[in-house]
This record gives sequence, C-alpha cells and structure tokens, in this order.
Amino acid sequence: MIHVNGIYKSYGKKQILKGVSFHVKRGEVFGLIGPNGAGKSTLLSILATITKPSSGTISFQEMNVLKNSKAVKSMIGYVPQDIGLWEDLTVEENMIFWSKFSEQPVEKEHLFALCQKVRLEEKWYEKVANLSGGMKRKLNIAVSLIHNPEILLMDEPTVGIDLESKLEINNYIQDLAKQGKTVLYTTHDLREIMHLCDRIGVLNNGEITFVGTIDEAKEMMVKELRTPPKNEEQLLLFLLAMKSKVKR
Amino acid sequence: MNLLLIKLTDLFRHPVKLLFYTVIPIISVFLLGILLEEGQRGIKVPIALVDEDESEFSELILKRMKGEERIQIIPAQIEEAEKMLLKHEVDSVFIIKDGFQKQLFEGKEDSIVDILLTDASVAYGIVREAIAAEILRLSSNIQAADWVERSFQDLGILKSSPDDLWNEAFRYTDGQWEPEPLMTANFVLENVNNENNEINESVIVNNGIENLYSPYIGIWTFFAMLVTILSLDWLVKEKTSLFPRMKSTAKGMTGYLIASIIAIFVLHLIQLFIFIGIGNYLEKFIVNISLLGWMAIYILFSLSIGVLLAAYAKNIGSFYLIAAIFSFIISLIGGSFFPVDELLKMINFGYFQWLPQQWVIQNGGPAPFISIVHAVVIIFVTWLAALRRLQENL
Repeated sequence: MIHVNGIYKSYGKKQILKGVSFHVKRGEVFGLIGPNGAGKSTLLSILATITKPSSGTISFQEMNVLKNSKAVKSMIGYVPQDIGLWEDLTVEENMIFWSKFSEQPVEKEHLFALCQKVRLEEKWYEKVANLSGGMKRKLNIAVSLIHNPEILLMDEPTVGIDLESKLEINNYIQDLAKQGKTVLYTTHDLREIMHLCDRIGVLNNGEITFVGTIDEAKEMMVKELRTPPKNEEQLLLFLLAMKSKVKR
Repeated sequence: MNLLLIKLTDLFRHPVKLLFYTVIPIISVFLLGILLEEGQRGIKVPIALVDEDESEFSELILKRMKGEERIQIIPAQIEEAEKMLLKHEVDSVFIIKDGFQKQLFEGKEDSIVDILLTDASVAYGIVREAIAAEILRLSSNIQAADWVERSFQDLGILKSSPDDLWNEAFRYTDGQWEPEPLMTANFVLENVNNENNEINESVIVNNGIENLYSPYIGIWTFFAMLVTILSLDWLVKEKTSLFPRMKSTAKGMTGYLIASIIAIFVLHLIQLFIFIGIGNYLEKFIVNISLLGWMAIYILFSLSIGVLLAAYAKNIGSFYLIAAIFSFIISLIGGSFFPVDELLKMINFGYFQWLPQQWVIQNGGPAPFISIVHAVVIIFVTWLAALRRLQENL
C-alpha cells in the first residue's frame, strides 16, 4: 500500500531524514516511534505531500506520490499534531468549513455521521473553544475523514489527552483499519503502540533502526541482551538504543 | 457557504477587532490631522518676491500672495533677495520678470516667473503652485474679457467704450474665482540651469492639488498600512495550525488564502469609504476617482506586505512588533507625516515614486502610467514571495 524508499530530507546543512525506507500493508496500523527531533513529523508531512523530500521515492498503491500529488491528496487524510480547527466556529461549522477542501461535494448527513462515530454528536452546535482536549482531538480525526480517505496519516493524534479519550480514539482507529483503511501513526508512547499497532518502525536520528512487530522487537532484545523486557519502557529504551537492525 | 463568506462571517464575529480595524484608525487620523493642522497654522515660511515688472498685475499677485496662510512674502530687489537666499534667510526667491503683464496680455505664459533656489529650499513647491494659480486666474480673465469685447464688436452691440466693457468683463470673470477657485495649477519644469539654480517654469492646468495643505491623506496612509498589516495576524496563527492540513487536501491552501485576503480587503475598503465620507462631510479633503483608486491600490499593497511579514514571522508577538516598526519607518520615509518629495529630490533620490505612500499623496490627479507599473510590480513580487514562503513547509 505505502512504499517509502530512500527518503532524504535536509533543511540547509541539517539532515533530518537519512535514507528512510519501509512499507505499510493495506488495512494495517503502522506505528512510527522515535524520540523528539527524530524526524517523525517531517516524514509524515512528506507522506502528506506538504513537504517535498530532498531525494527518494514514495508510492501509494503503485502511484508515485511526488508525481501525482493531486490524486494522492484525495487518498490521504492527514491529522496534524497541532489541532487544525477553528476555535471560534462550532463543530458543525468546522466540519462544513473543512468539507470545502474536498473535491467532491459532501452531504451534511455524512459530516454528522462522522461526528457520531467519534461521539461528538451532542456537541454539534458547540463552539470548538468550549470542547475538552480529548473532544478536540476526536474532531481533529473526524475532519481528516470527511473525504473518506484510504490512508490516514496521524501525527501524535492523542498527545496531551486523558486516558479514556485516548482509548476511545485507539479503538476507533482499529475500527477504521478493520474497514480497510491504512493507518500510519506516530507517537512517543510505546504502550499505546503495543495496544494499537500491527507493526512498528523505529525512527532515530533520521534513520529507521527497526521495522517489525512488537513480538519481533522482544525477540530481538532477548537475542541481543539475553533477557526479555520487564516492561514497555525497557523495550522502548532498547529499541531507541539500537543501531540499524532493520528488518523491512 | 463558500470560503469567502465563511471568512467574512468570521471577521464580523469579533466586534472589538472590527472596531479596531475600521473606526479606531479613522478617529486617530482625524485627531492627529487636527493637531497637525493646528501646529502648521503658526508656521510661515519666508519667501522673497522680486517684482521687476511693477505692473498692476504683478502688484495684484504680490498682494494676493501676502494673504497666503503658510508663507511670509518679503518684497525685495534682486540683489537683496539673492543675499537673503544665500544666508538662508528666505527659503526661495520668486522673480516676476519685466514684461510680465505685457506677456499675459499677449497670451504668453511661458518663462514669465523665475525661481532661485538653494539646496536647502523645501517650500518653493507650495509657492510656485500658488503663483501659478494666480497667473492662471489673470490669464483666463484676460482671455474672457477679450472674448466679450470681440463678441460685442462683432454683434454690433457695443454701447459703452471698449475699455469699460473689457474692465467690467475682467472684474466679472475675476469674481467667479471666489469663494472657490475655478481651477488650480501645478507645474512642468523646463530649462533647468544648474549653475544658477534657476528654473523657468510654464503653467499647466491640473485639478489635483486640493490636498496640498491637507495632512489627513498622509496620516491615513500610515494608519491604513498599520491596521491592514495587523489585520493579517490570523495568518501567523493559521499557518502552523490550519495550513498544514489545507496543504494536504485536494483543493490546497491557495484558494482559502485568496478568499481570506479578499474578505480582509473588503473590510478595509469599508474603512476607506467611512474615512472618505467623514473627510468630505467635515470638508477636510476632496477625494476624486483617481485618488480613490490609488487608496484602494495602497490597501492592496499593504495587504501583500502584511502577508509577506506574516509568512516570515516566527510568532504573533514578533509579527505585531515588525508590523508597527515597518509601518512607521516606511510611512516616515514615504511622506505620511510631512512632505518628502522635495527633500528626496534634493538628495537626488529619484525613486520616490516607488514609495507606496507617494502613490496616494502625489496622485490626486490622473495617475501616471509609471506609478501604476511600480505598484503592480511591487504588489506582484511581494505576493509571490509571500505565497512561496507559505507553500514551503513551516
């Protein structure tokens, strides 16, 4: 579904991404994990066609993203890390506003149904400024689904919200994957990734150092350190300390 | 509801902001304008006037010039006037040349007044326009009186002496210039002699100096630029929150940006019309179609500069600071607060037409083509640079 091949990106002399390669299967939830400044958001903005890479290729369903960015934009739903909503508008007005960016006209019923799915129907006429952090995050996701995209690119969509909302959002993402949507998800939180993702990729200092399932990560730790991880933090520290043990 | 309407609705949702962008600048312009007018009222620039002709008409001009509010006319002989000029006791010297009245009767208006200047002369522009207006008045009165006399003779209805009829026609025509002048005037320069700093001038008719003494239009250029740039603060916030998502959509960001700018433009046009309405009502200035067009272009320029500043601003605080500093400095150089065109000419700065304030301040009359080219080039380049910056990943 998504093929990322040798992506490099630099801003001036600073190299952010250094030959990143991996692939994501259709209907898979792929978690991208890494410390702050690893290049996760840059990689996601390249996949979302917001930023151009310095070199490398990306394809969605065999379609070259860089050459067919307009067609690709209809396939993707991007959930930015900063909440991309109008605080002064109501939930309804926000949904209508963002529907204007779709190529196809969108019915109001469809917009309301999306809000129902993230349990915001009761807040339909509420100003976004009055919503809780969790509700705003849910609306942020609902907006990205307005044009029914096949691929969801989510940049830390649950950062800074309560556990209940986080679980609700994670369950919803799993539902979306079951419907056949491909999800690429970035986070700092390994526990969340373990609960949510089919496979993970570890991005560290602009390089992918691991790609595989959580079980494969654990096996690798046993193989390298001759001891299984006692908790998620230990596994995360091991993964972040690894140097390019990539299994693509 | 399309994007333009959404943005307009959003603007009208915030009455305090709306007030700040429309009413506050207008109140500020008039308050500051009144203060400046009061301040200027007490200042008189000394000008030496040499009457070589010593005719009825030259004395009439001398008498009328003495009535000018902002200048102090000092009648003098040529040698004395030159000495005063060299000592900077007078700003400039105007010489009504010998044969002035005779040439006016012959219908000749060229090279009848000379001006002596130094590098420090700044106020001669005002005086030469006032003198030109007087010459124009005399010349048209003569032409009208000649025509009346000729017509009476042709029709055979001349009952009194031709001189009496001519004088009566002259007086009648002259009366038509009160209380408002029939025409005003400005100049084209010819035969500039650098050695003697002497300029011979001819008169051309123009209706564009009504705002010569009005500080309001100049001050408006400052406040209009400031509030126009400040009204783009949403761009600084949205470029990091809303724009990334927009750029990932099929329709992209540009359509939204253009719709938003049009909405802001409409808001400032409303401000402009309120300003003109109040100005006309209070009889502070006259705005003709050409000036109105330039004021609208000036708002467009301020918008493009504002978008550029917002595109590069790191945060809202730095944007406000840069907007205020930029508006003040460019307004100061551009002549918003006091006339700078003569000063800029004096230091051989030949590009003052590129200063956007000059488009408005200088263009009460028909807009010169080159100014339109300047405006289009500056707005286009600024707009392109801003768009390019916003399209980049921020």
